[in-house]
Amino acid sequence: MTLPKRLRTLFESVSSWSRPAWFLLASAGLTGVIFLFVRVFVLDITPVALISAQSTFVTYEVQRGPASNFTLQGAQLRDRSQVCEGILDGTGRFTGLVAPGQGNRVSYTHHRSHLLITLDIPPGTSAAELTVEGHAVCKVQGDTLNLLVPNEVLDRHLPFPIVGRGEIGAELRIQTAPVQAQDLIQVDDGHGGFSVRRAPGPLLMGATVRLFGRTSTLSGTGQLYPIPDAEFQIPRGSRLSSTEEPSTMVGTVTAAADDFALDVEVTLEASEVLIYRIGQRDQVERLAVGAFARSFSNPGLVPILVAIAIFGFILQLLCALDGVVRDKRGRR
Amino acid sequence: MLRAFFVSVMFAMPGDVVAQDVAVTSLSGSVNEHFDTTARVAGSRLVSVRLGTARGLAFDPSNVQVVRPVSLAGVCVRSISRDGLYWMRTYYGVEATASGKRLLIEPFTSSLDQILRSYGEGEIAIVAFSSVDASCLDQSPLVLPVLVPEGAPDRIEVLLNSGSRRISAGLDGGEQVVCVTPQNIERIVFDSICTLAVVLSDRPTQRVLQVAMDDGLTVVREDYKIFLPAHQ
Repeated sequence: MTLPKRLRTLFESVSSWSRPAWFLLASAGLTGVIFLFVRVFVLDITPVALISAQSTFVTYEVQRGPASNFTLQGAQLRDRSQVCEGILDGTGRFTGLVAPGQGNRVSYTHHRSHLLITLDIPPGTSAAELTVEGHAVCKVQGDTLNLLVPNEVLDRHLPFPIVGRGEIGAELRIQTAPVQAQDLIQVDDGHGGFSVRRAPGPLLMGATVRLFGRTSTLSGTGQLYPIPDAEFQIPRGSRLSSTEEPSTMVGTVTAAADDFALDVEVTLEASEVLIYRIGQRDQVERLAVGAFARSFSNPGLVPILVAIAIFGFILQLLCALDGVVRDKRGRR
Repeated sequence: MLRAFFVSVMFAMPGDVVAQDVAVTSLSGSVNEHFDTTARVAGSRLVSVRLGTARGLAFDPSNVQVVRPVSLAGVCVRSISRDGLYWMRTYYGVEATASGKRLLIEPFTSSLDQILRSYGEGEIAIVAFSSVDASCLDQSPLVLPVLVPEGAPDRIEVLLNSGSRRISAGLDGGEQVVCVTPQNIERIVFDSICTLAVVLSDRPTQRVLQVAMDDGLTVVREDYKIFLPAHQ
């Protein structure tokens, strides 16, 4: 039997289903299969969010100790008595490795003259450790350690880590009277002190969240692809927060002497991102991107979609050719 | 007016323990309140002082009670919703002849009754303080905790707007107050919730809540005088 004849037989058998119920059942079945397919391969796959933010304040809870370590060069301390004797240099500054403990909270605040790094060490979590070349590892005393990195040495530092449940910025809130009117703060470190030019805040100056889809095929997941139009502008004065514990938030923050805001870049699962902002009653918002946009830009689905398109085209072409041939025979 | 009548009738009922214990405020003028479609930007660091545990019920503006010292000429009430959309600041008079260890703030609202009832009990922050000045601009007022109606006064809950500072607090007797940053809610009106279990003594006491706010550079301390009633 030739191909046109086979196709004709198939067509005749389908058209012989005179009862509409068959068509309804077939349509419902096919819809279900396609929906399940889209659900498993598109909707259930959480996109990845890339947050690029400019904020004066970032904080996170240490989730992976070693990944949260960072080095400091020439940092000043608010309270020198919290660290072991001898690990500060001749000018009372710290140059070495800071290893926050699991469960500690690390906060970065950019003031006009210094980057303030605060380690909060809640009871029950392991103390942060300081390591300086040639000295024994030093456990930090107290429940909080404030390290101040002067602007002039910021360019000697690598980006600082953010690995764990975190918050970027703080929502524009009800303002209270300033605690201290002056912006030049004299920090009393017990050794003559030093001045810090305070910045108002904390404030998120602006942020962009880009979503990337993940491909999913029968063989697994793994490829990222940009979802078109899935770019969210986060308004100034919002707070971006990750919800889950443990969180997938991973990224870095850099501080520059000539920039008021910190440059923050983190990735995390899009379902974790919460946006808090002043507005109406419901002030917590999540990101969402349409299944349509995700489906049609998913490279994993492209071969299937192309195969369906080619099949449909060939089928139509063959049917048309068959019609032409029959028409010629009929005329003869 | 009708409500005031019912309230007075209800509280005059013999045998009602709560009723015998409650005095009602008087108000000259109107309640100074507002509900915004956008949030206000003004406020105080001390946002709420409550004695008892909020029960998760809807807020009832017709039954807002505060602790009442014996000699109290007037009370200033500041209230704000957690989202900052509602705020109120009103001075109420207190009849010198009225008796009762609790003070019912009446009327708490003049036109926002339905809106306020849509909030939860814990979502309306109220701080009340004794005042002789109707402008409510006292320097160091005596804070009168808000009581949870029918609730046990076994816990002080203080809401603070610290501006993301690290808060540590304690009472003048040495009791440490546990302060936490609320998670998964917006922090527009307050960003610290401080709680402490208390055991009331046999006579009313005036305690001092000492709050230290640390922004990493300096520590600022503020004291708030709080009136605690006698154990009943």
